[in-house]
Amino acid sequence: MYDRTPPPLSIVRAAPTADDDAALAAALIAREPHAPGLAWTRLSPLVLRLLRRYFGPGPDRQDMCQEVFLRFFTRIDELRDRNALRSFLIGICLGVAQNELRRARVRRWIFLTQTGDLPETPIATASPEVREAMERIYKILAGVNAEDRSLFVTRYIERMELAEIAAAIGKPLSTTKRRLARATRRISARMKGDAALADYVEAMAASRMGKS
Amino acid sequence: MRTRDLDGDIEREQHCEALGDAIAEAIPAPAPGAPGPLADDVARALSRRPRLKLRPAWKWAPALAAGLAAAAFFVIPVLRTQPLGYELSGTYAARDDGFETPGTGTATARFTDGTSIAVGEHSAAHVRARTRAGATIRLDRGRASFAVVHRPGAKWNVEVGPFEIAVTGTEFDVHWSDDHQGFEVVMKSGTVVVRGSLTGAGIPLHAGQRLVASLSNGTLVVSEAEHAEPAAPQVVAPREEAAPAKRGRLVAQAAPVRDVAPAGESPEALARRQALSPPPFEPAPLPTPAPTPAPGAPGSESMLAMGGASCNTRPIPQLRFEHASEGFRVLAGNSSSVFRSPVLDHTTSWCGGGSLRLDGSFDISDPSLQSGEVAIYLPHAVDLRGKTVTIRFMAQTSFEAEFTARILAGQGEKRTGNSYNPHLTTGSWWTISATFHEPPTTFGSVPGDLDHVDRIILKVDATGSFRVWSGPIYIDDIGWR
Repeated sequence: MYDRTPPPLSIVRAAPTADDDAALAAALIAREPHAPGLAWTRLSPLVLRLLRRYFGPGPDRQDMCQEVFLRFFTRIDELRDRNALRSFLIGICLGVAQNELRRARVRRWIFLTQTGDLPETPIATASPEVREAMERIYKILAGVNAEDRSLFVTRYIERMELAEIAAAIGKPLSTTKRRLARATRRISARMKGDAALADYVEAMAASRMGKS
Repeated sequence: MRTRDLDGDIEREQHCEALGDAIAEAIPAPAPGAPGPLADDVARALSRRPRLKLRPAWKWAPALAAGLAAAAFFVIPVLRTQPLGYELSGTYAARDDGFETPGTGTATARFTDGTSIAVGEHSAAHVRARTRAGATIRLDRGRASFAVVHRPGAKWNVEVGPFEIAVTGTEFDVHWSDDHQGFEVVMKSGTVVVRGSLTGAGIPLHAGQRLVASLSNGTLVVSEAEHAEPAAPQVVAPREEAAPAKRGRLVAQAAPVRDVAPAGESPEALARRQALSPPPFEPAPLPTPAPTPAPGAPGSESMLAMGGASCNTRPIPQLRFEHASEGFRVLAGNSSSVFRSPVLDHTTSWCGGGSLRLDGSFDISDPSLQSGEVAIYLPHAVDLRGKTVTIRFMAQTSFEAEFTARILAGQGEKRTGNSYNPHLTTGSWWTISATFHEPPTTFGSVPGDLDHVDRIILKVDATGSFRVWSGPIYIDDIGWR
């Protein structure tokens, strides 16, 4: 049923140098004219990717990305560590995403859609098997709260370090670890409830283990 | 068990990682360098003047500042009106802020403005009231030393029996004997005003002065304290605008001769120097030529005009003992009396060039020599009802002896005057006064004994530890008004 071809080994984001982020942060705080455009060019792919993976297949999240940057620019003076510019931005992005997710749930509760389910949006380039897997995965994520979803996205999709996640969500590291473990248990339990998805994931995990 | 949990955690993390990888593969990152244009509303927001964003720690700073301002607005006036506080050491304060000291201990009350009150043994005091400017202390009995810190607007009051001491900043000792109705104030520094019984409109006291009052005897004496700080020499005269005298009131003040007569200074120079300092409650007298010694007086040895400028005070006393032609007569005792051999002396006087001198001799072994009297017959009978008689006199001995003195008015066989002046000492000029009030008469009652007074009597009693002494006594300036 599913294609057992393992996915690529890992997804690695290029870590920008601290000097770049610090210099950009300084320029933003100094209200230098070129700074917003530079920040938009450099950081908007990160935000857009995070939003798409947070919400899953669906419409373009450009409007939400704009909202994230609007807040980012207006709150730039709250940045204490200029080297933590990306964590600061991701924290804002997660906040916007969680608010949007809660609003979407309210809309679903009051039946703004006929079935109450999120409308199915196909991934154009993916195979039918992958599209079905995505549908099942995001159905599981729709069943957990917004914070668990944020933790899952940042840790298991974006592969951020625990310290970065803690800085982004504004929680102590120990609290972040504890909540991440809880989110992992919840999502894993839900995944085991879906036999087909579990088989798919087991195959992917085995493939990863074999390649590593 | 824990190994199984750990394996489970790892398995769950692997499942989630696999889910994440699946999502990451299905939803790749956007192509770099093509984020699209910056939205117009974002650009407009960035073109606005940057909003002042406070760090989280200071988010509530404006509210905090407003709160502090409001608190200051309401609290500071309260603090400004908050009375002084005090701590008590050595004893405990009762609920009414009263405290007593045991027989062998003292207590000290220290106020928040720095003022301290040391209460002596067998004493009792009350902190009756406290304000921001000061406090009102009542000395119920015993002794207390006050060290009041001088501050602008300071207002302290000390209540002692029927007396009240108004203080702004000074150091003084107070003694009140409830049993004997005795009151004493010894000034160390500063100035106070004593009001209450026997004081009329109030008696100001300066550093170095001592006030002793006895309610039972109706006397009040102001003198120079022996061990006080140096005070400006002052001369004394009855006050022109004195308050209505009360029955039996005596007021005496002294200028110690021995303290103000440095070696080598002439009496005239001494008198001028004394005149530079006006009495505390009298206007400065007009300068007049110093009195000259009477002819024939040994100028270099005379002690004339010790009163200095006070001698110019009006009205001039009726009897000045300058010449025998003034019309007075003196009745002294014989050789077995305390006072004898009256003469006009032109070497020692309070004012002018003469005084009445008698030889005095006290002996404790002989009851008749413990009390002496001098009767000065007046040139003509006078009505002393409601009048105050003032006498200045000095007794001289080779050492300091203590005595009391009283003024009596004689009319025929009658003598009037039941008050006395205690704790006088030899070597100083003393001014004592007595006001005579006739008891209210009723219809058909016999007229009193003050309407035709023909003599004034000075009665002196030896007191203290040394009651055997002899020496001259000089009487000068007897007046009544």
